[in-house]
Amino acid sequence: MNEKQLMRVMVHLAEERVPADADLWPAIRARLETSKAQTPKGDLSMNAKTNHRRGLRLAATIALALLAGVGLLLATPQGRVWAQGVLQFFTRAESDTLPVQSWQLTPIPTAETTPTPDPASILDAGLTVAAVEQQAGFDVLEPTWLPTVLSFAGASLEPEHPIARIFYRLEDTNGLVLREQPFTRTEDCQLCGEVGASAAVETVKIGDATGEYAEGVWSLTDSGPVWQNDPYLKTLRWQSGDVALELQFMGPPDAVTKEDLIAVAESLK
Amino acid sequence: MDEKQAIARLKRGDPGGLETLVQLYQLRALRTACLIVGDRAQAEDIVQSAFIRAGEKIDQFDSRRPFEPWFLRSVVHDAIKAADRQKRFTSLDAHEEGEVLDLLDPAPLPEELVEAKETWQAVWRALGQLPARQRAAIVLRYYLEMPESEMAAALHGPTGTVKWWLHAARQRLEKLLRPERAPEESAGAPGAGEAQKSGGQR
Repeated sequence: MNEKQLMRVMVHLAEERVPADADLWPAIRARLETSKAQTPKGDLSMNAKTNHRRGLRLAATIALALLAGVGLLLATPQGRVWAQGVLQFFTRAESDTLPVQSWQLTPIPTAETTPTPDPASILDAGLTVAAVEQQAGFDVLEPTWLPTVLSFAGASLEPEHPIARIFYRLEDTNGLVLREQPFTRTEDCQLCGEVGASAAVETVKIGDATGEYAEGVWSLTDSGPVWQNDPYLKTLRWQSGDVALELQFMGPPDAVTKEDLIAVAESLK
Repeated sequence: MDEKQAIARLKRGDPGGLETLVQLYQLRALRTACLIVGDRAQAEDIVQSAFIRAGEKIDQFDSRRPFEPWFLRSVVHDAIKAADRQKRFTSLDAHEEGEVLDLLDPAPLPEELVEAKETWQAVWRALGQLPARQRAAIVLRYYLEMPESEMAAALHGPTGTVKWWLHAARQRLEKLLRPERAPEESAGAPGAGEAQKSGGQR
């Protein structure tokens, strides 16, 4: 079966499961009436805007109070030391939401556009580690131990920064990415990205080095990225010499644990 | 009343605007949710709630943009959450396994097979065996025909990750729909992971 045929089968399935005469409006209207009966204004819940706005004002007040508190804290020398000392490899955002990012506004490419290979995608990672190392011009470390559920899928190089990536696939779904980037100034470290304000970042030992571990992901929404503390995505970051390293596992939380990530990190040669 | 008028009315607090949006978009939303959660009643509940929430949050919607992608993202998100809770919507029992077909061979299938209900049912059962995010990726790509960039927005993941989900989903579907292989060919697959947790193909 080719893709077009699969599309036709999906349409058949959809039409079979939900015939065209489906009408949700009576049920939705009934639910709105129920909520109308439960609201003091007796208005349909579309006009629950007032409550929503009141909630927003309260949230904004709390957020401003928190920001003012953090601002005051950071204004003191102790506060600045605290802020710098808490996280080394992760940068904590001021909140769990970020403004809409410029790349989110980029127009969707048309079908005629020839897609450029994405070094961040396992599907475009067609190089060997040796080939990446040769092109990168720095020693690319490789794990000498991996959880048995993972197998090598490919490697890629993003030459501008430069960042080497080695991908390990989990059976059928998701997997592990090892990213390595030489850097000399903190502001050049592409791997020292932000986590949400509520992220639990844990300091861990990796051999003699100290690293940081966090679980969570920035989810894209129309109003910008929103941080979610989601164990489906685990990230471990540390530094070896002038190289920033990151292990990121995406997949079922029990398939690869924090301890596994540390063991992989300790095995790098 | 068209979409823009409906949204303008809804922004003024008039639920009549919502009725128009329901009439315009309920079918695709309901079918999308049903393909992801595998249950019509649950899909109806998800879509009803999504419409009510859309009505409540319409102030946050940018009227210059089309409503449907914004709304479908919410439906897909809720459907994945619901599907995650139920893990999978069907099980391949012993006598169903014999009916699997070599459906994802890139070669075109004979037309009569594409139109055969047995084929649809085999795909339906295989879909039910996929992890929720992979199932959603298949639905978005092959039912809604979304490009990967739109899928990334709907599935709340970077494009590379979404490509990965789709690739993994197709591989998994292929395995589920492939006729049974010789034991030595299928027994050596390494690892456990989600494949085994969600039942695998055996």
